[in-house]
Amino acid sequence: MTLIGIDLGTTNSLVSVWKNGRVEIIKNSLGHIMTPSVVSLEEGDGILVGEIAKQRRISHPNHTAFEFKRSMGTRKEYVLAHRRYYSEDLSAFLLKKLIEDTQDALDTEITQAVISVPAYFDDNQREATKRAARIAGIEVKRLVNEPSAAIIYHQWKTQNTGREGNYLVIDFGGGTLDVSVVDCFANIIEIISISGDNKLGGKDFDRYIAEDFCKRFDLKFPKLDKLTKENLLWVAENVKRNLSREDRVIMRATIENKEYEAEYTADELLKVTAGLLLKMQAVINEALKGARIELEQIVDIVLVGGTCKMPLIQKYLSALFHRDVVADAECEQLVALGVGVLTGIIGRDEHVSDIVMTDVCPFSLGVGTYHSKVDSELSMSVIIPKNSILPISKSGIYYGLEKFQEQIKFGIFQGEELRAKDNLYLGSLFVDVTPNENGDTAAQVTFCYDINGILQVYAQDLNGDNRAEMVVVSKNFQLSDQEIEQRKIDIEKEQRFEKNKEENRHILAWGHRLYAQANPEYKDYIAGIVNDFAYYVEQNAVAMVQRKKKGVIEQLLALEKVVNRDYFENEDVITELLDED
Amino acid sequence: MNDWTILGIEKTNDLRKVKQAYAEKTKLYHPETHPEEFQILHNAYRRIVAEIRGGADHQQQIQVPLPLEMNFQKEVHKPVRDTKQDVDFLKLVEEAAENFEARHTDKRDPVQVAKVEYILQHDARNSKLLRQFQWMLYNEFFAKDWRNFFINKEFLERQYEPEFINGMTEILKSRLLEMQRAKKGVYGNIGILVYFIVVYGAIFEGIDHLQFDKHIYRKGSLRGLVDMFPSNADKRDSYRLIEENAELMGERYAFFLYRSILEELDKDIPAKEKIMEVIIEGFQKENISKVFFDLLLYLVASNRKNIPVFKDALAQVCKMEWDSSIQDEIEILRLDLTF
Repeated sequence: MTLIGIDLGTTNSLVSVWKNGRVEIIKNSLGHIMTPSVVSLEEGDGILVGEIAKQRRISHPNHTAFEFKRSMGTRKEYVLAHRRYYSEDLSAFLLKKLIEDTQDALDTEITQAVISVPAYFDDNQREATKRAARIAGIEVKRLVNEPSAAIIYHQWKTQNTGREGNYLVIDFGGGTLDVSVVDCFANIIEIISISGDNKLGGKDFDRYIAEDFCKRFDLKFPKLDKLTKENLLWVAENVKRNLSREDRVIMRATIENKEYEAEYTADELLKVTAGLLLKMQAVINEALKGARIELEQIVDIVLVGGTCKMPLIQKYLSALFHRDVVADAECEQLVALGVGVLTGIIGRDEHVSDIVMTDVCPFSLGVGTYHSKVDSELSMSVIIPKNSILPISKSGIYYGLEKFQEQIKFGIFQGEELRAKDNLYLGSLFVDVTPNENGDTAAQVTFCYDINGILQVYAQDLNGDNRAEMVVVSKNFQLSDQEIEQRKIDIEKEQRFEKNKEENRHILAWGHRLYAQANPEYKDYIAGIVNDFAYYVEQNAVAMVQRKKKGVIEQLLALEKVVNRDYFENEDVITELLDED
Repeated sequence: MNDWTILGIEKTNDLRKVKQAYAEKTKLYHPETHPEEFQILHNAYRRIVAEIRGGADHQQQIQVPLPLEMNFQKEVHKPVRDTKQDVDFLKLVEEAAENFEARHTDKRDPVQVAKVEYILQHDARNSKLLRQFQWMLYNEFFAKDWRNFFINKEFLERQYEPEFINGMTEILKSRLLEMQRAKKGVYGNIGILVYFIVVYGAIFEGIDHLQFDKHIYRKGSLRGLVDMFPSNADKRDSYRLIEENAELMGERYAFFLYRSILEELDKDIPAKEKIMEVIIEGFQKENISKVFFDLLLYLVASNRKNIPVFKDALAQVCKMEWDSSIQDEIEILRLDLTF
């Protein structure tokens, strides 16, 4: 029985295996190392996966699904001809194909795998990935974060020559961007912080180019039919690729039976996609903030993923960090290779048994609490802060709101938002408490988050012997028609009150954003300010709001400076790059 | 067992040595096979690294203007401090700083610890009570124990003595870390302590470094105070107590105290009538009228304006003469009333 590693990508997927002290990428049935993550439904109800399906993307757009990893863990349905699939079903088809090819190549049965996921996947998305594997008929031995896998391979390869210190890993794939700061020394690989955007990837560059192309001829990209759109994206992708080799590329496309032609240069690509580059810079900034290190403390920058091959990205990063940032030739395979090495580590192979990797949790975990009786909404109280090293167990003590309270309910949430309902809801735990007159009912909640990403929650009544515990398994939630109607009514109601006054809404939104961005030590402070102001806004207390406003704005302004510290202050890289030429 | 023995090395300032030791131990206590041991090891490692980097890991305290209600009137009742430094005291600081590393695993300001030691040793009259206070603080007692402490005869006798308040404030300051950690139990034990910080401690200087927590504790501390009055009858009388101390506490706090008590007594109409009387009386006093004005705004905000007692009072207030600074707000109040 062999343990294999799978890099389940947005655009391409790879399989690797640890064999005789080295890692090997398994070729698929066509002899390619990469299998496109595309699934297509054949006329006779057969399922096609990989290269063939990718070709059908243009010919049979209504029968073909791609980039479905982007909707992992959601209830988005892909309609292939007359059938409906969730993202996890499509991933299962892909996984099945990868495993069949591997079984043929290795001539053994495969039942276990290590699968890589974007570091910024939340519990819902991770659970969906596990479900996909279960549908495909394999057991997931471990889910590993993609940038962590890449740095494992990087460290293993440079075991005796590599420098010790902090590494910045930028994993820019087809659909997701992850940035990690990693401390490497003496075969220890310690992930310090993770940040990312699971809605930003190479595919966005294609879309930006296609949209720009349409704009040049006064066409509206979203209004085109599906076939033309597919075609345009395909051509745009080629333009992006060819610009890596050539200075100028001509883009040709047929839209509504008319031929269009436009020329693109590297500079124009920079202008068109500047928005995406700035988004990338923000994610890097976030990772550095979470790690609390300075730019000079970074020993090396490791580029991972196909999008990093773009010269534009490398040029941009070089200008940002004032040093040469170059992508490795095998940057697209780094994750798969790393997952392969990890299978060796998990299998306790003697060649790699002394490598230890520790990872962190990408999101905060906590429970919903009321700060006081007058609060109308649950606030998030963080128990395990973002970027805590795994495994971890931490606890907090919470008190009942009412006298003679008999039970405390703990809603478990994942995310960085202040309002609990804005975060991902994972489940609820009820614990009976000993009621008393003084309202001293209290319970201690303990979160244990293990290396496999399994969260166990325990609650203990502090005045008695009652206990409760659960293993959290995230669920998907759908709103019923009735709930949607209810929300509509609620919104109409709100419109009549102060709540909807533009400025106050702006201040509250500002506070909420700061809360989400802040490092854990500031969170409670911000929560205090926002909750207090929100109370008066909700109560429609005009005079009180007027008096409070100035103070709140002053505080938020001061906090803004601390929370959103900009590592790349005054670095207008885009104009700088344009001026050079 | 301290952090250094967990890592199995002598105390050093060499980060490389620490990392080397951590790497070796990690291989013994691999996170996959020994998750619990690894957590202990990792925490020790983190603390040591933070210590060596000289607090670089700790974020700087933020400088943010205080929320409006936090602007204390510091000039009230400020005792004169003897600034002459005691030789005896300096020596103690040095000693404490030396022994400090060995005795405590978490970071505490050695100077502050020494200060407390000094007070406990030299203030013979209060030391017993202060030690009890420190001990309860350390063990995070529940509200009922604190209540017993605060109605203790000795405490009631001395609560306004400057030396005693000084001692308590210094102890609280030395326990900053524990208090920050306990912030989640907003309604509980620590809330009452913070009441002491804000009410007594704030009168003295040197409280500013606590600003981070004040806001969070505010609601909890008031709730804690209200809980200290055991029966409803006591609660009803508590406004007198507040009124007596309003000037001392700073008017913003008086306001929040009133508000908390009102919430507690929401169904008790006679009590409210009594409070309303006080409020109207309060308007005639120049010094704290602002408190009562805020209270009125709060009553309007919380939809209590339809309760007859309050309505009458509000109407009465609107008829009064006001200086121009709050004239606009009174206009809004009048508008609110007409609805």
